[in-house]
Amino acid sequence: MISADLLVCYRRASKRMFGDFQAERLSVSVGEAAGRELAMESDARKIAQDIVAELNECGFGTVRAEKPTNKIEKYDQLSNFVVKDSAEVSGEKSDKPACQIIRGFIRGAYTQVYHQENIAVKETKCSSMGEKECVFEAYWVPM
Amino acid sequence: MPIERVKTGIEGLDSMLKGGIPKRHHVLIAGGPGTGKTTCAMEFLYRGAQAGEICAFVSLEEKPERIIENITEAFPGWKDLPKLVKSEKLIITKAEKWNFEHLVDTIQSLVDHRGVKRLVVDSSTILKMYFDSKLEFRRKLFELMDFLSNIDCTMVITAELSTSDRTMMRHGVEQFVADGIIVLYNLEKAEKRVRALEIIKMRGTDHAREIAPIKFGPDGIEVFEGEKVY
Repeated sequence: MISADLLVCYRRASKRMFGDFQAERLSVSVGEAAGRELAMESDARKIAQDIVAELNECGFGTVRAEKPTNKIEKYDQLSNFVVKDSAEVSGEKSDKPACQIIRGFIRGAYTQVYHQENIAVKETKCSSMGEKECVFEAYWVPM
Repeated sequence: MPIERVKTGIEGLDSMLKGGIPKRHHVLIAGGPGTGKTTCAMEFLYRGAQAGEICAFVSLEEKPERIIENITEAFPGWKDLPKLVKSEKLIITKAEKWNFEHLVDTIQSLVDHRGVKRLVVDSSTILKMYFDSKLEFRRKLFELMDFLSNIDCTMVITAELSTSDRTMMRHGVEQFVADGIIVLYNLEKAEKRVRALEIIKMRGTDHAREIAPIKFGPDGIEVFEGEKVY
């Protein structure tokens, strides 16, 4: 299990030390490793609910999965995840989506469970940008 | 301490590189249309996979099945290619178009979690289109290279040049950022076209300075070091 507070502190420290891009990549990497670990004990049928349970339990916010409503053109969507009060934002303002650990976590879980790399996760709304909640869309990239 | 090198496995090229590409370097394989950039990059992966390394090809445009078809056609002698792909010694995948974040996610995931040691991104010409300005492309490419230099992976990026005429080559942004540049030519000689290769730069190592003729045979590429093109 990962602690959201600890990871967020780590992300902020890495941003100070290595700059935005490297800090972002570290965050994605940490999230991905945790997501992959979760998926090793899961399967394609229940991965969305396992992602929700783990993120809630670790304190990343109030998380729920939603069936994709606005289908991305041509793409098969896996699931949407909505995070209220994301620990990765905690009052910060940003001009781009900020929740890289959660994004990496969701992608890691899906890539592990399907054993495919052509899965993308986009944070399409982020509360750091003034939205009410953060929204993550997981979908297949057509090969 | 001698520098660690990654053998390309391409006949004649490692000798021109004095033993191979320095490990963790980022090398650009550039050339005009039809000069064999993708096939050359693929041979770098194929030879690595044959030697037991995990290698990955990330396409930004072409479908993986089409890439396999093209390679099988170009090198019919590579009988073990399907086996290497099936066993995931050679991973061929596609990143989402216009999504730089997904490309970096894919590269990071391949290196961190799949243990990839040789990576090809095909091509920087498509990648350039992701960005509105040259400056943004250069900044992102630099960030990506900087990030990759911290991880244990040797990377090749292909780049399409607008011409195969040697005297008309223009150096793009990616050529300044890369550790090494190998250019493939399709030169005119007595009303015929001759394929050739030149190592323009390779940081951290000496390398052959002359243009060498190359041949694409059924079993791979052969570089004829020391032979004259003209």
